[in-house]
Amino acid sequence: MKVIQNVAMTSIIRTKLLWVLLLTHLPLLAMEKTDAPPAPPLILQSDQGEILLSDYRGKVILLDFWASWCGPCRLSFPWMNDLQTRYTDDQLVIIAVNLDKDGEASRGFLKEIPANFIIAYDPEGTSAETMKVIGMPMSYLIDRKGCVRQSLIGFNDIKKAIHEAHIRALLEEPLNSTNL
Amino acid sequence: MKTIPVFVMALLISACSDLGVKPWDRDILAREEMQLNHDPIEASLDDHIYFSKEASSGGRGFGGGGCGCN
Amino acid sequence: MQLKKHNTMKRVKRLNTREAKKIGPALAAATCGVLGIASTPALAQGEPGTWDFDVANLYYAESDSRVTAVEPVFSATRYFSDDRQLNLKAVFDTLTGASPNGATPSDQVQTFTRTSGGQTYDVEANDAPLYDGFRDTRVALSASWLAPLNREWEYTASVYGSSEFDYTSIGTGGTIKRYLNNKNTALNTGLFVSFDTVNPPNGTPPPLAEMARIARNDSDDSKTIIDALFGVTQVINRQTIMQLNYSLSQSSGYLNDAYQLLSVIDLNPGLNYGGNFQVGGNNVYLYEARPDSRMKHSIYWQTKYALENGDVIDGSYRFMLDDWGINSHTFDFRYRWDLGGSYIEPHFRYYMQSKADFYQRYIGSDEYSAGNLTEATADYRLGDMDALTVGMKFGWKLKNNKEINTRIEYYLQRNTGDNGVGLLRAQDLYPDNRAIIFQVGYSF
Repeated sequence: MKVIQNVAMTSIIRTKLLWVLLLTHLPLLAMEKTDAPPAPPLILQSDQGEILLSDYRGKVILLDFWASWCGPCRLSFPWMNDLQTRYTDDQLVIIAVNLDKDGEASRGFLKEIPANFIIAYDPEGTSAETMKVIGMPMSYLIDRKGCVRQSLIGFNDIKKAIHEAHIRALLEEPLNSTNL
Repeated sequence: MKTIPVFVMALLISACSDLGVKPWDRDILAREEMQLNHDPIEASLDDHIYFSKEASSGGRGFGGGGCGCN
Repeated sequence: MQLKKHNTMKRVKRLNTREAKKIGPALAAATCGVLGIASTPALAQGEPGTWDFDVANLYYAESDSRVTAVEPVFSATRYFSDDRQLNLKAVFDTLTGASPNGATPSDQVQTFTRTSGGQTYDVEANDAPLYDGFRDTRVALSASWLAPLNREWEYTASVYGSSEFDYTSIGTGGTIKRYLNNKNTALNTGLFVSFDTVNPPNGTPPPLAEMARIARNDSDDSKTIIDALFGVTQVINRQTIMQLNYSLSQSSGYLNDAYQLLSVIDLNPGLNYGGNFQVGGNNVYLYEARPDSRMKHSIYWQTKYALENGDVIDGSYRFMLDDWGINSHTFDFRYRWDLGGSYIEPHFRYYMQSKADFYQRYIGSDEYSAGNLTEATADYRLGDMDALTVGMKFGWKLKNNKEINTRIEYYLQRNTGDNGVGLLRAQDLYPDNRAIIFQVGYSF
């Protein structure tokens, strides 16, 4: 009798605890929703064929938009190369979408500054339109669950440091966490 | 007299909000020769010549400084 | 978890400036928007920690033994992190030759004093009276700083100083720019204040004083100039960008040219009608007198349009109006013919101005005797004129964003006005001013 009572008590307590947890995290839920919308289901054309952002679910994606004529983009490539090298094991994927209308210009750029990350091509700019790119270069950080958590417009030393700090934070988030 | 140009500018500014291009369409505008003042050295040398030989000056910008030539 | 933390403690590898190619002026950052002010540093954002240099030499030579100028320029821009830059510029200006002194030519030899009560020089009969005291070297230094406050706001601050033997100028100013509409629109406003001192040898002559009667004096005079600018820059479409500026310039103080004279012409009927008016056997010449303030308004409109083939058309119009009664129109047109690694750029400029209210080619003896004149100038630069510049520029782009360029231009200025009476009609009161402009430049 006592054992059954104890089991019943524990399950009631557990349910209450779960409710408390849920209610306290509700505001966080709400925040997360407005701060981190799910990334649009982009389909990008790369040298390796068609790729989807969802192909990389579980990894942290740095989605960058660049063009050969953009000065700061030139500065960002060595940094992105460095990031890809250092964080591949931690599951960082960099996808840099080129928005040049002239394919030759982008290939010329890549000859000068080769990339060790994925390059996609979108001369029409549809993916940039979908992502609401407002400056060049512009990059987005997508977490392991596929939500857009940060965006960064332009590139310089200060921005570089801020962005890398965000990347490290996202890499440290495990895929299945009790924190939403 | 001064309020008229400011008013015209204000009208123009509001009309301007519909014009423009997407950030990734600025490839041509990014070219050096498409900058409004892409050769400031030549512009300032010319400004100096014309300031010395004519009655008008500036318009494009200012701060070129004075000389005893006019 | 522990390993990850250790990696993140490691310092980010410092970007080797040699690995990333120098950007130079060729790639203008889209995030920087558009700049259009002559005195501020060139638009393009170079890589932080690098320098861009520009050197050029201008050769300007007028026909008929008039002015020749050689003007080397050195400009250096240093790029700092976060899109900030500093520009330093030095200009040297060596002037030789002669310039009209405002007097009318005569069928007799004329004698002028160099400066108030100084040495004399002669002008032959029927020659244009030119004053050759312009052996002068001017040095001008300026520094200009540009920095963004954030994505929407940007400012510049600059200082300027110049010195020549009879003139010094110092000035400072700044501009503020606000971007709108995703950097498609930029609003620009600026203010520049300058303080100039004029101290010719033997001092500045009193207004309308008689040349022969002026003694040495120790006066020197100054003027203050305040310039304000309000501008809008707008991207029209992928190939077109425009700029519209309204500027004001207020000068006050000593605005005369201390060397300019007016001839007094004899209007009495007789043998000397139209000749130089004489008192005590000497020609009478008066130093000019301009108002002590001047307010100029200008509207400037520029458009740049890129064609499919890579060529660029650049056209501008400026209208100027001032309270001296002068108004002017300036049309400027350039066509850059892109040849890949080089370019050819024809240039055409047309200018016309109407004379100042107090401009007159000479003073009649009646006016002189009446003594009511308060302002007068015969300086051709304030008279009715139009001018044409036709030229060609050639540029060669070299490796690493270096460029060599050269331009050669022909400037023809025609002055017009009252052709005089009597003896004066036989003289050419408005000779054309023709000049060659030749410039060589190198950016690296």
